[in-house]
Amino acid sequence: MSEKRSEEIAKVLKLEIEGFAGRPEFFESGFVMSAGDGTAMVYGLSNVMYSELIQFSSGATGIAFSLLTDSVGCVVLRGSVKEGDEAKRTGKVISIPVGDQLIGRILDPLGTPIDKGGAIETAGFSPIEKESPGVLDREPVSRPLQTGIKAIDSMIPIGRGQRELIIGDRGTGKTAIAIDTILNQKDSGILCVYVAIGQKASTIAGIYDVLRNKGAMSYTTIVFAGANDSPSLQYIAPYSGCAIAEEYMYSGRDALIVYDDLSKHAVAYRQLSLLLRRPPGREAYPGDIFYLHSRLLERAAKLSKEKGSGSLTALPIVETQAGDISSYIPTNIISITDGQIYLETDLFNSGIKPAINAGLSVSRVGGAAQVPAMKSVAANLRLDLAQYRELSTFSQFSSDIDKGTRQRLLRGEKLVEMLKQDQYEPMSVADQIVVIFAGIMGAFDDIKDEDLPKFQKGLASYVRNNYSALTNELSAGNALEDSRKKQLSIAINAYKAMFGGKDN
Amino acid sequence: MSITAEKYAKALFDSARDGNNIEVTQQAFSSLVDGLKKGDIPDIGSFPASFRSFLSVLSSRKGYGHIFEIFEKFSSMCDEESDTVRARIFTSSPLDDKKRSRIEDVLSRKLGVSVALTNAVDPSVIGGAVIRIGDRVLDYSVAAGLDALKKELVR
Repeated sequence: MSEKRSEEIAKVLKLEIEGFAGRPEFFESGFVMSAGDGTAMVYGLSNVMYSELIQFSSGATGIAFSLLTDSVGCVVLRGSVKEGDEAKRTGKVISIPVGDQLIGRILDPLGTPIDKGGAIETAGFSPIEKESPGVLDREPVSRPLQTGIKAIDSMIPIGRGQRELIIGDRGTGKTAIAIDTILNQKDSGILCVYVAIGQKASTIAGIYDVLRNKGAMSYTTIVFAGANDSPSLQYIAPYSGCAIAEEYMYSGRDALIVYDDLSKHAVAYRQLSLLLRRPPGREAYPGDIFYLHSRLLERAAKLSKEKGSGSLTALPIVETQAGDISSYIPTNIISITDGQIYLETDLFNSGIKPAINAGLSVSRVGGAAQVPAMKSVAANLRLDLAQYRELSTFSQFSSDIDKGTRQRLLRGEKLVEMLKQDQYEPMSVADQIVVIFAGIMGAFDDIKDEDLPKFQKGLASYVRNNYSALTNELSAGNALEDSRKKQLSIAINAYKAMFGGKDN
Repeated sequence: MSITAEKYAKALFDSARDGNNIEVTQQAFSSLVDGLKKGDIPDIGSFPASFRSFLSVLSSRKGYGHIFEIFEKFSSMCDEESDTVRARIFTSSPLDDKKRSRIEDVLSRKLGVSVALTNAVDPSVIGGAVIRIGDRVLDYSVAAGLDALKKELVR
C-alpha cells in the first residue's frame, strides 16, 4: 500500500519536474540601492504602479510607495532587505483572506493568524485598498446601532453606516466605549472588527480576554499591529481590517469596525513618509495625510437595497494631547466623520464615567436612526442638561438661589448621576428609555446618589417583569403615546414606593 | 544620474548628429573611457575635431568628474537614435558567437528593434540562460526552475 503511494508521489513529482523544465519566467525587475528603517530604494522597476506589491529576492515583500524619476521608494512589510537584492514586480496589490472563517480570530495586518487557532481556510481574498461605494450605491442612515451606553444612545445616537469619532486624552475611556459597544452587539447580528494600531500586546491580550469571557469573540475579529511591528504594518492595519469588515457589508450584513487609534496610524505614516524623503508639512505630516484617513473612513457606508442593504459603521479613535482637539490630526478626522464623542479628563477625574462632554459631542446623522420613543425622552434630557450646565456656572459662588433654580440644579445633578455607567454593563434600549423617562419626570430627585445605580437596575427589571407589553413596545421602538407615558409613570411610582419601603 | 551629465551628453550628442559623425564620436568616446579605466589613455590626436573641442570645454568647466556618467548617457542616446536595445545574457559558461547571434536575431525579431547582446558568465544560473533587457527579465535558467519546484514541494 505504502509502496504504491510512494510510487504515485514519484510519478506526480516526475510530471511536475518535467513541467518546470521548459517554463520560462518573464518579469520586470530592479535592484535595491539602499535599505534600512523598514524602507528600501530600488533602482529600475520603471513600469511599477503605485502601491503595487514587490517581491524581493531575499523573500521579503514590499509596497511601491514613492515613484521617482529612475528609482522607487518601497516600504518593506515583512522580512529583511539588503543592498543589491533583486526586486521583482508582481502586478498585484496586497490582498488578505476575508470571510466568516475569520470570526473569533486574531490576525496580523497581512491576514496571518497570530492566535492558536491554526491556519485559516478561506475561499475569499480581497485587496486591502478598495474604492469606497459611490453616491448611487448609498442610502441615508436609517437604523440605529445601539452602544448600550445611556449617554450615547440618548444624546449622541449612532446609526448603522455612520462614522463616529471617539476623541479624548489618554486614559479617558475611549477604548472602553468601543469595547462596550462591541459587547452590546451580542444579539444584534452586527459583526465586529477591532483594529489595534501601535498598541501594547498586553493591552490586546486583556481586551481579547474580556471579549472572549463575555462571549463577544463569536462575532468579532481582531486585527493587531503592535507597537513593535514595523511602521509599514501599522500603516496597512486599518485598511486590512476594513477589507474584512467590507466583506460583511457587501454580503448584505451589518458590520462595525473600531480603529484604535488613528493618531498612532498617522504617526506611523509620517515616519514612513519622512524616511522616504517626502516633503514634511504641518507637524511634519506629509501632504497626503488627509487623504490617508478620508479614503479609509469613506469606505464606511449604508448600502442601498440594490446593493444588498449592508452597512459598515466605523468608530475611529483619536488621542488628543492636553484636550487639544484643534491640532492637525483631530481636526482632520473630525471633519471627515459624522460627529464625535468627546471625552474629558476633568470629567473622568471627578468620577463621571463615561466622561462624555455632552456639549462638545455631536452626532450629525444618528438622530434619523434613533427610535421614536428614545428620541422623545432624549430631547427633554438634552434640554434639562443644557439648562443645568448654564445655571451651574452662574450659581457656583452664590448661596441665595430661588427655589425654582435650586430645583433645576438638583434635577441636573441627578441626571448627570443617572448617566454614569459602569464598564462592561451595556443596557438595552427599553431599559434606557424607562430610566431616562424616570430621570426627566424627577423620580430620582429624592434618592441618594449612592443608591441610584441600584435603583436604576431595580426599576428596569421591575418594569421588564411586570409590564411586558410595555417593554415589548419600547424594545420595538414605537413612539411613546400619552397612555403609555401614564402607564410608565404609574410603574415608576409603584417601584419607588417599594424601594423606599425596603430602604426604611 | 546628475542633471549636469545629462546636459553635457545631450550637447555632445546634438553636435555629433549635426556633424553626422555619431558613430565616430561614439567609438572615440568609448576608447577614451576604456583607456581611462585601464589607466592607458589613447592618443587624443586621433579623435574627431568636434570631440576634441568637447573635451576642452569639459576641462575648462571642470566637468571631468562626470565623464563616465556622460558616456553612459551619451551611449543610451546613440542607442535610441539607431533603434538599438542593449541586452545582457547570463549563462553558466561562455556562449559562442554563433549561438549569441542566433539569440540576438530571435530577440530582435520578437521585440521589433535591433538587440545588441553581450554575454556575461554567472555560475549561479546553473544551466539555461537569463536575459536582461533594461528592467525586463526573461528567465530560462535551471536555477529559477529549481526554485519554483522547491516552492511547490514546500507547499
